[in-house]
Amino acid sequence: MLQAVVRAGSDAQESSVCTVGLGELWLGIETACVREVLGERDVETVPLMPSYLAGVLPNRGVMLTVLCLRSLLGMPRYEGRSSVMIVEDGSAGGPFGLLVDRIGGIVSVTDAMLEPTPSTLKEQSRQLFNGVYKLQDRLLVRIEAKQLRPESLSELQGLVAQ
Amino acid sequence: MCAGILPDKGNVDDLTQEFLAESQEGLDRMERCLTELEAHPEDRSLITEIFRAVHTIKGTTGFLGFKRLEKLAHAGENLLGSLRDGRLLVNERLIDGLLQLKDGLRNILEIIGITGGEGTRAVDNDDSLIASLDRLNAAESGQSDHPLEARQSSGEQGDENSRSSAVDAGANEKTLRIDVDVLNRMMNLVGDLVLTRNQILRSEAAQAFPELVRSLDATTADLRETVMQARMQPVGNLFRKFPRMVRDLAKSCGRAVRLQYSGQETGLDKSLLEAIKDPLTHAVRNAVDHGIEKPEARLLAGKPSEGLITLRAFQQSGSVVIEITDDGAGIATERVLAKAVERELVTPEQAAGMSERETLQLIFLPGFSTAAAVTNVSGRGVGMDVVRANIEKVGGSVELASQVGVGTTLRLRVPLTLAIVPALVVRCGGQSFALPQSALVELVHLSTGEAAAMVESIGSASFYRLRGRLLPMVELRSLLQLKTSAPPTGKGIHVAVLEAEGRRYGLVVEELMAPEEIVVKPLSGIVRELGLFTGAAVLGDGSMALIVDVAAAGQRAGVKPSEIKEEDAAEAPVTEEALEEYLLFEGEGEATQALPLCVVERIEELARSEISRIEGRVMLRYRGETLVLHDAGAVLQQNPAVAMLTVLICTEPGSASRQGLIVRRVLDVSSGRVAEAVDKDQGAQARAVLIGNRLIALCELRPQEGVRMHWSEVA
Repeated sequence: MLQAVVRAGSDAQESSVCTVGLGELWLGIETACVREVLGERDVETVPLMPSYLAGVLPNRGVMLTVLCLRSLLGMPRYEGRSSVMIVEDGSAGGPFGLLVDRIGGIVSVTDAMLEPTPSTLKEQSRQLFNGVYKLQDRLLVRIEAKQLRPESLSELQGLVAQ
Repeated sequence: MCAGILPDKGNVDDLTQEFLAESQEGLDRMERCLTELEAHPEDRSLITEIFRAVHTIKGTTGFLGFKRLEKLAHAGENLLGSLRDGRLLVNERLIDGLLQLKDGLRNILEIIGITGGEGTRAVDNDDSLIASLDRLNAAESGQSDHPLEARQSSGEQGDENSRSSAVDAGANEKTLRIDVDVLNRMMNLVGDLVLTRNQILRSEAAQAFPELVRSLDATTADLRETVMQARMQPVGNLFRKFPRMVRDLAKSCGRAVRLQYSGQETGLDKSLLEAIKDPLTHAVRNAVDHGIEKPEARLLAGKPSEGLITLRAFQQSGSVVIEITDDGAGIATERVLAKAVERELVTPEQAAGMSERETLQLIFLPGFSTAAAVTNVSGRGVGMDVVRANIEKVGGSVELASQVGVGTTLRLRVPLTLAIVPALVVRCGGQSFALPQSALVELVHLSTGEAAAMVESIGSASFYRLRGRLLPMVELRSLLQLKTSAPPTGKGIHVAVLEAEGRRYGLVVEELMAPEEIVVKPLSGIVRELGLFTGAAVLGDGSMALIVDVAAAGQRAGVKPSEIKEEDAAEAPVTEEALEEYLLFEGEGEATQALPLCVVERIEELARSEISRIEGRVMLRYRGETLVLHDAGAVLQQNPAVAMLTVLICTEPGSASRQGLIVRRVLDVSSGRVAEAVDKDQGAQARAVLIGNRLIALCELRPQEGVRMHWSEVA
């Protein structure tokens, strides 16, 4: 697993994000929304569900719904064994899982590093991306747990290729 | 000492919330006491209890500033005061008035619960109620009409029990009262759990590990039991709502009904108690409205004018049984059939060939109602099908037995808890699925040849001829659109015959795994909306299985709820007698013998070494009891070297003892009927069963002396 520790340049409005990797792409999700990092896990597929629903996973006595981030972004299936991160947005829906290729580390970022999502991206990605952090060595796409709620994704369904 | 756990409510602060819960409990108590009071008007302690409930509400409302509630409670308190001081006597009008008072108070409490205020609409006015309470209060004791006399029923057990429990604290709908001792025990166990965890984390020596695991195991088991115990509620909490309901209902439909209950201490999981509340209410309504006849009709039939409804709860082999019995008119099968034909649920030809048991099953079909007149109580066609659907949803089952002129018994069977269910694990498309045992009828394995010969298709639908009935076949793989390679050929197919909500079908799966007690985990929103799975479970080997909703899967596959198949009615011989199911097996001399299926509890394959011979009898130690085995197939004599034995474990209805029957081979299960005695030469009456057009010897069990067999020439 890659440990990405990056120093922030400015000290204004510092916050920390947890990074996850999808192929070449790095995404960051606010640390406060991350409940638990599980690492590599097998997820039980549920038949007849849209492809962005990876399946269900038992965690701390409850059955969590796990989303496939690759499928949400229209990316092809990951060949290796995927990792699971459990996120929650504080709403009544409870926590849910995110299936990603790998989980990176904690990165400190500032608002000054945030740029709006480039408009040249695919519509499907633009809907979920919430700006891009310019890190020293690469770009980090910001995503929000709130927008990933399984219940709120049904409107996106049309956009997700089956 | 009790701790109340209250739900969050947006509009209401904690103090009010607590007051509401307390008041609701007070009113529950008041309701129970009022129905008691009707039966025992002389019981002063009941009046005191009611007074106390209303007084507490009045006292607290003043403090919280609910003026409307206070005013009504005050009027009620005045009336109850007069009653307590003996200035008034208990009569029917007074009880009615007090019940109205209770409803009025409850109404206001509900409004407070929802809005936080007491309601400002025009209908939210209690003046007329207060006036009628005052009028009741003004009536002098001498003028009051016919004081109620103590009823004759006071000696009955059910009544006595309900009376002693009437003063107990009842349970509120959303809150759960837990004994603080139980809560403390849970806390201690959690403490132990943490302690063990700490020890495991710090232990470096491997030899300490087994000891720690044992401690972890014990603590977990204790904790689980304690939590389950905390969730268990006596069924009586549910029963207590019925006296009032039955009273009102009986009045409005002109019946005289007495309600009696027993077994109210039987524990049931709280969520299950909630789940069976509606079906049970419906069943009791049905018993009053449809079951019990009008008093005149009862007298003509030579029965006491007052009908009796009995609610009985008891535990039976891992499930709780609730019986609702009425001594009413019973269900006339001709009327059921006529109605079913009229409603086009069955064709007249089908109806002609139906047995009594099949006929009674028609009542559970959607859109069926036998009430001659549609009343506002029941008889609108939504009824028993909903009862059955609700009970089956929680993994239970419903049975109906009725005798014309004697009465009807409805038996609801529900599991003890929803959290752990016995299920059969099957595999299909590389995934595991769990089928609840409650919906499983039987398992059939077809070899490739059999499958090819016996699975027939009509259009895209395929059917299997299971003992003459056409069974719709549903492939789990195609139903769930599982993306897998073609099924392995050459091994044949496994069919799980399932039945839920009247839908009966065969589910084709790839592999059958072991039955397992699974811990059910509910699914979250979006997966639940799919409606095909009721939950998921982690299996013993750590893998996961989705729990199939048998009724929903059948519906999705297009299986219609129906008790009889068209093919069946055409083939079934027209007979007056009820067909019964028989297990056919190969007995002595390779002759086929039959045994009523209801006496066969299990079919076991046992190693010969498990049985022993004591004083010439063959004995088997089986699940903690000693069974006498009877060698029906003369297997032991003729084949002393045999290693495995097929044993039918049998229980004679009405006797508690079991016995075993060693047979050569189990052949099939078929329905047939007892044929007339054909051969009387042997002194005893020889009996045989007619199955199809074959006469098969009936094997009879005798509890004491073992198996006695009579049989006759096979036709």
